[in-house]
Amino acid sequence: MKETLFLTKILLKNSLNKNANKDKLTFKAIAAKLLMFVAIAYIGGVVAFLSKELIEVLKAANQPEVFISLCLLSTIIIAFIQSILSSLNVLYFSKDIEFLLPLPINSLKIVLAKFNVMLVSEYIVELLTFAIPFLVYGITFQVSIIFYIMSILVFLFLPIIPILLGTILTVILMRFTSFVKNKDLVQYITVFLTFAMIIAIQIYSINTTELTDFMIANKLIQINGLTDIFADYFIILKHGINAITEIENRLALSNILYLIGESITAYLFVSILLSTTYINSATNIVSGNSKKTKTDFRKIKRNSTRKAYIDKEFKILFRNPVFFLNTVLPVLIIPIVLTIPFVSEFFSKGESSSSQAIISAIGENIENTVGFAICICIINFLYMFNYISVTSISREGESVAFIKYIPLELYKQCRYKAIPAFILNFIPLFFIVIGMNLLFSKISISFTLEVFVIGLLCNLFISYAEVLIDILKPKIHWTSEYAVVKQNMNMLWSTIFVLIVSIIILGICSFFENVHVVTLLISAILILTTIFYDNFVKLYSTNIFKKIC
Amino acid sequence: MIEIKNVSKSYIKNEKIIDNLNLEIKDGEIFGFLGPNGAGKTTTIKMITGILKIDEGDIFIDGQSITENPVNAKLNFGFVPDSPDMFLKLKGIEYLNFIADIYKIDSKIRKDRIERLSKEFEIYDNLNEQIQNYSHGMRQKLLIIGVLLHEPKNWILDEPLTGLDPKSAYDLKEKMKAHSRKGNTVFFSTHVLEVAEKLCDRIGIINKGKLLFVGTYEEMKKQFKDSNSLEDIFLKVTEE
Repeated sequence: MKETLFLTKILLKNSLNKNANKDKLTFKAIAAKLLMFVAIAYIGGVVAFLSKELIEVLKAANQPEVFISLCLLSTIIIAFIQSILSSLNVLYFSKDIEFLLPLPINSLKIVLAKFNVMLVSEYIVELLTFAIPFLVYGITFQVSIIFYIMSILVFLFLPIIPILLGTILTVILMRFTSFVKNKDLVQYITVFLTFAMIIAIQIYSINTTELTDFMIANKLIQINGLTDIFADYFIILKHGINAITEIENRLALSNILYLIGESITAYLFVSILLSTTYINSATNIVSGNSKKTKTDFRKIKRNSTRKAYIDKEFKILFRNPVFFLNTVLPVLIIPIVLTIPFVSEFFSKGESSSSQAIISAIGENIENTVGFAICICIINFLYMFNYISVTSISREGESVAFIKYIPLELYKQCRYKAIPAFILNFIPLFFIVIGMNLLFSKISISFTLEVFVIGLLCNLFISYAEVLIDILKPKIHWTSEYAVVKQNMNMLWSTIFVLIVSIIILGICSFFENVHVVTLLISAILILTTIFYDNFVKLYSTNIFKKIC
Repeated sequence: MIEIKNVSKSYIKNEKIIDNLNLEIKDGEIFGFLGPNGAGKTTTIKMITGILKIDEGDIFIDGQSITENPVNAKLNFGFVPDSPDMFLKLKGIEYLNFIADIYKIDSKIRKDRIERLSKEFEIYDNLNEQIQNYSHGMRQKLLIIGVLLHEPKNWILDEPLTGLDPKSAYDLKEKMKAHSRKGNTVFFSTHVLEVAEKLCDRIGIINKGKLLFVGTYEEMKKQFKDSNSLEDIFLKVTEE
């Protein structure tokens, strides 16, 4: 037991990849923490507001406990899906496997420790997702302390069995299929499936956008009917719901005891079961999936240094699933996800719908500086999801020294590193420009061109300047690629940077009434700033790259 | 030729990790750079190759200053770092082609050299695999081939023999000798004293940022008459 807990602690610490200089309270660190706090407080506020609205709707329908049922059902579903995704990484693809396998620790302890890591991750998700809604519920109905104690116990034990089921599914998959040896392919497939699911849920949820409070309540109660059916087969859900909603009588105590008993039994039983097959599958993964194929020397040809460098950047971006899924995919997916509601509205409701009227009203009044500013801000907003430039140095990791000993000027490498982000940003740019013309048919060619030109110049400047953000504070000492994309403050700085650029553009637009003048002025500013920035990098490259060694 | 002139480097103010280093590695010479862990070997190599900025002094590669004309200086050397874990998602052949593009090597020449060198280092059959599937030694060999591709006059190698199998280590040592015989320079750091003894024309021993000895093995034996082996001499020099 002691060994398992110790191993859990080590694995958790390793997965957090904490910064060694955490005690240094610099201005930047304080500012970053403050920003993070503001962002969390804002999201918390939104969640609290939405929860309150939902509770009030259900209260009016005299079914407030439906809120609890739905939260618990969501917990089970989230835990199950998350466990499928994370168990692959935690059990099979994490770097620690190679260090753990030779140690004299029996496989049961490794499985238990790894399972605990997944459980702790789930607790963090639960805390972030359900702590505020439950607090709002508790305050609204002025419940006793027992409600909170029961809720904590339920949230501690409820995700155990869904995680076990998700893990079993993964282990079976790893045991009996061969393609899973290819870590990259598995990661691509699982994340694409998740995105497909998100888009499907979004398409489904579109139909609920114009519902009245009464209809929402009915819909929620209908979903709650599903919860009842689900609870018949998944007994822990019923025990969880009863443990919280029946605190007035003894049912709550017996149900929480059932839940705890079932979860612990399943935890031990499944862990023992998995430990027998886990080591075999893990050893298989470690052995790799290399295939020897003959090299085609005819394909070797000379390229310009620029092409060779940019090709190399693209290959690393697209072949590394962690980098691809976290830096490239959002640029491709976000415009689609955000557009689905509009497209659905546009095609499903017919000419007479209110949204059609709004669309045509906007279309007739968009060709002014306010409309122009909004178009540019939407384009910039989509650029925010492009994390290619802002991680371009960090992605190199310990081998970053390479960029300093090759005979290629640092400022040129800086330019080349910006190009992949610049090219991929054409997707949101075209998306908005084409979408704008499809949606508002009366838009003029000159306005479209002006939006395109400023969008293009913003793209150039943002993609290029974000490389500098990463050069100044690169995250190069990492053991897992996830650290580059999940624990990198530069991504926050890049968001702030794009926000500032957008605010400046908004400010300029608010001073003028003529779109042509605004276009000329913003173009001049962006071109001059980009030239100034390029010269600055060229002149001070040695100092700028000082932190990279 | 590599000339290190009055070079100093500090990571923390007033704490010199390299203190007024002066060294000249002549053409046609194999120079072994020795020292205990943390002595300043890698820092020196990082300054020679332009990875680290020099605080004081300068370094010249065939007369080109690494601070004033970095690109020209870098064209004059090939560098093998101590860790070969780079560009793991690229295939071996893609890495070599990329390096050939950076050093602007003609198509025909690069094809011939890649084929010949990969056969010599026995990774010809693995060139079409991603580097992440290579063993440590294979990655090391790939980096060495990358250096040999553009046939630089000066080779700078940080612990080049670590991880190589005996045959590859032997081949590399033979290549180092052949390279120096043609009037070129080889500068490498190592912990293996026997390699330094048998391979190097001259040896430099560094400790705590200061160069404690520079000379041939024979000169060193004369200077430290009481010691029986290079190991004894090394321990004596670095403990002083």
